[in-house]
Amino acid sequence: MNGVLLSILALPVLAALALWALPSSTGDRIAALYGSVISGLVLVGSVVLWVGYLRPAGAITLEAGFVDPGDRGSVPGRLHAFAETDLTWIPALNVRFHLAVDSISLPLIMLTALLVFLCCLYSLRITPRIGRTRSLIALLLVIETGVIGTFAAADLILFFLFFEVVLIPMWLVIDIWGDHHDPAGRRRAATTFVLMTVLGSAVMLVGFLLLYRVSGTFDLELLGQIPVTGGHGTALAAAILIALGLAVKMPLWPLHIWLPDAHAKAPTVGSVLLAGVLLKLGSYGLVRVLLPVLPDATATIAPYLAGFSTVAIVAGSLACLAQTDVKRLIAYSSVGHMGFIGLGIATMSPEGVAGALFANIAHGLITGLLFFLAGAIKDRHDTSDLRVIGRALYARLPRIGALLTFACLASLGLPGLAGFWGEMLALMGAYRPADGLPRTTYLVMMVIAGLGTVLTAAYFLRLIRNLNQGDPAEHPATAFAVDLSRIELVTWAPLVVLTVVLGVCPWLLLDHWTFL
Amino acid sequence: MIATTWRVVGVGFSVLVILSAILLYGVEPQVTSFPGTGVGAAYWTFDVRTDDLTVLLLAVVGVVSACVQVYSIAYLHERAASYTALVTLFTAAMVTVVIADSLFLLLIGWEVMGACSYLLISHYWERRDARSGAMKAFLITRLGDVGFLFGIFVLGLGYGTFRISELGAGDISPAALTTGTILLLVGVVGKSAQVPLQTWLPDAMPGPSPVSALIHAATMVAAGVFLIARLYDVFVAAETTLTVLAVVACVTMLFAALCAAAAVEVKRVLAWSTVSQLAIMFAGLSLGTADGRHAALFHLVTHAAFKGLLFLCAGVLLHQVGSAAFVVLRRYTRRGTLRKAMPVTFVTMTIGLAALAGVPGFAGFFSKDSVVEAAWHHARDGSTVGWFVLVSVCLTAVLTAFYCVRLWLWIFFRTPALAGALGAFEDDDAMADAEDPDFSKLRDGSWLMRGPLVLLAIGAIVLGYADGLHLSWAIAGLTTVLAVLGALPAYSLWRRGADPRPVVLEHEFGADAAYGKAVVVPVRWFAKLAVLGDRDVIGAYVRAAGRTGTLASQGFRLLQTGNVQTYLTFAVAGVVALAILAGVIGA
Repeated sequence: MNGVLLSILALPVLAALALWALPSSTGDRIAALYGSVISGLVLVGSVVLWVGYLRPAGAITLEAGFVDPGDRGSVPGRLHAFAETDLTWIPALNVRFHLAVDSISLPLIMLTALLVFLCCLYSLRITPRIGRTRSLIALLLVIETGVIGTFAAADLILFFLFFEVVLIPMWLVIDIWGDHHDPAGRRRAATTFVLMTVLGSAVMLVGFLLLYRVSGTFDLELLGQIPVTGGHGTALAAAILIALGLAVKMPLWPLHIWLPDAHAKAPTVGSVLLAGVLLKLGSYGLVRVLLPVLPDATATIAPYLAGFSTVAIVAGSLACLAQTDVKRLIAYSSVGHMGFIGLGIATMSPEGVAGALFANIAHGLITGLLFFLAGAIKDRHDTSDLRVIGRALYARLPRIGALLTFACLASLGLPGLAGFWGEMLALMGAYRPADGLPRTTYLVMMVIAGLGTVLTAAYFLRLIRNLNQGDPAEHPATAFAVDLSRIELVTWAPLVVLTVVLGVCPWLLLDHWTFL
Repeated sequence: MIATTWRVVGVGFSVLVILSAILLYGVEPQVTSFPGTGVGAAYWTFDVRTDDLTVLLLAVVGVVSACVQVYSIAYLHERAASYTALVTLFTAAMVTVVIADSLFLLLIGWEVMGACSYLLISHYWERRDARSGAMKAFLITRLGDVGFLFGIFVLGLGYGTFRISELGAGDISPAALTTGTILLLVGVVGKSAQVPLQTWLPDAMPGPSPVSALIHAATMVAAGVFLIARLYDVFVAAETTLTVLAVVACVTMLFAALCAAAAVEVKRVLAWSTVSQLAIMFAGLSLGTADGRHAALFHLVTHAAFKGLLFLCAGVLLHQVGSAAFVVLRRYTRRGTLRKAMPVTFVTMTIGLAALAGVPGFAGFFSKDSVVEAAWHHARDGSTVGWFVLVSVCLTAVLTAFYCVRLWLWIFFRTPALAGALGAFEDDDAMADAEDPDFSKLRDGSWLMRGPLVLLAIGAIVLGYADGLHLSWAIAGLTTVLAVLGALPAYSLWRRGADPRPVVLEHEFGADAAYGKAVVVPVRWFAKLAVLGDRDVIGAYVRAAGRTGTLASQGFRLLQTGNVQTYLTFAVAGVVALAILAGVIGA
């Protein structure tokens, strides 16, 4: 299986190089078709990997019934390597080319492959007005390699490298293909994005180096087996630095300031990947690097992490209530949702961490759909300002309006759709956090986060009310308004279907996180 | 075409629900297990179960939803496909709640019902009141559902199971039991629109009338009653919770009945009366006795029939007249036109109102009496809660009779005192009756609309005898006297053409405005603060950091003079400084 992993890692970047080698007069359609085929192959590869992972007699089967609360397994997040590749790379620095996946990273890899595939498919018909689709597709493929590499890296330096690989292509995507009405704004958004995340990853690298000083290895598998104990001194400093670096990426309040601009100015496919995939790098890093490697130090900073996450939930939701731009609103909603993920991780309990992982996937699907929809609405009205778009979208674009309502309901955590289980488990984790964490603090966080779900509902209903509903007489249909086109239906259908499937059958993912 | 398909599916599904209720009738209680999932200490399944309670509720849901689906075919024409699909989804969600043996499966149905309710209230999304009513309904029930979710955590993790049939069997600390049941109660109060979360139900009335009949009268709002009946063992063990429930129920039933007595729109009167009748069921449950539970469920069934009927009648009025406001209906009712043009509606609505008011012989009379009787038995055993409930239900019976008679007389009959047509509702508009409105369109609906009305009207009479006739003559006499006591003032006021409506009741005790000031305004304020904070505080630090970098680089650029002598001087000075420093540290 390691061949499959290596090929889905290498294929996109090689294909991107080949695409750049083609003459720049290559038609947009051909480039998009090429990208779709390549990313489709990657998607197939990732599914093959998942099936291969599940096949060995269901790896770990679930024991029916309750586990005694006293018996709380190992620290969540440890790497149980599958499809492993372990080569010497830079012996002088003790850096190895070590790739491996497990049930935590594989769903995220599949999500990445799916979203990149859908973005390429979408580009078959709908591309940013700036043009140059060939380069856009190539950059998307490079991003795909970077993200899959980050999710598959089992060496901290390798993790850092792939983490950085993602930044520059995304910077270019925002800077070149961003909002064509506002060149200065998109440049500023792109620069803020790249500077803040580079600063964050620099801090994270320092944390990795401190970790190396204490443990003597960069290998995640090894570090998971022999975690660095002690919740003070160098270990604590390393944990703080790593957490800070990842929190910028996630982003956690108050380091989220780059996010609304970047999402709002990016082209549709850029927003989808940014929200659906890139934010997950931060939360994945917290689960993979912080929890199993530095358990004691993480326990020291966990209450603070939980606190900032809770503030993110409430502040993000409140900020959404006052937004007048549909893309910014959805961007801010990510802050709130990532707050739930942060809270789940900060509980350090199996329920909380599984909730965070589930919410990762659900948020990728639902927010991906929301950004597709926002992009479609923006393309049709040439603006994303709610006041200019007007109301009564149900009358003008009934299908897109209905899908938007569906996505909003899913995003606000309606039980029976994917968004619910992650939030529910994160809250349950906060109800009973890991031993040694202050339970009263977490109970307060749980209540505030619970009220945050009401605020979440409030801003999504406000969006539906101000955009979908309203008097059609005051907001007459415009001539160009075309309802759901075929390519949109094809690219969005998988997201809708998966949202429902994961909502009804949470065991598809949860059953594989029982080793936590 | 799509709409027709959905209608067939919708009616078919309702019939299927009725059929399964018939097939399950009398079957031994049993649980069907499905594989579950879980993480860590939490493990939950998606089991379903059947027992008497399930069958009862399935029958209620099936019959009412079948009536509503058939009625809607004639009632609703615009956007019928999405409407029928949502009503069907709602029915499925309610069935899920009823058959669930897993708290999480129940929660799924519970909240999907809320979402369907939201979407159906805003069916006429062109109307402002529909938009805001829908949003309010969803947000308030969502607030309650947060409590409900936490209650599931406390009880499920406390008992070590999320299976409903196993709850109540394990050992749990009394504190956790009380907390858990109180939290569940928060969800129930939200869903059933009890005080203090009552304001959403009257505002949900801009939705189509069949939806009001199905969701906001017969089924969804009664889900709270169902839930407590389902978890009755757990609730009975938590005495504090039952006392809280009793207080909530008693306050709500009087509060809502008073509001109903001052409302000037048929659907709003019915909405408040729903809140009040639900509170009577909760009062029965709060007694904590088997009799109380039985009486509450009996009242749930009869209430579903007569309140569903009343809302469908109100729908006919809305459909044919265009409005259900008293002031409009009054214009049509001169010379009894409304009554004569719509005989079926008039007769069925009279039956419904009689059942609601507790006229002897109708269904509501028997079920309300059984609640009174259970309360009396409990009070006789020396329970304060029993007395409390008894007095409240009796007072509510008076008020109920008052507003039923008021509604019936004012919309169907001409006031003798004001033969010239000016009445209590035309104060502002003296010329309203200068000319006759168009009577020509007034007629009963098609048979698709009349059929459900007749069926439910029969139910509103017959269901009273379904429980076996055991009448306590003393209590029956008492409630009859109380009903007459309520009806007489209504009649005498109507004779004089007066309809006094105290301001405090018209404003529904100012709860809505108070919530607006206490919650909505501060939240808006905080939202603005959050945006400004992002822009002017956090953003300012980022911009300042950027500017510092630029300034610093400009400063350093000044050093790049290109003059070799300067560079050399700096280098030498640096070497000397380092040498001195090394010497100092070395020493």
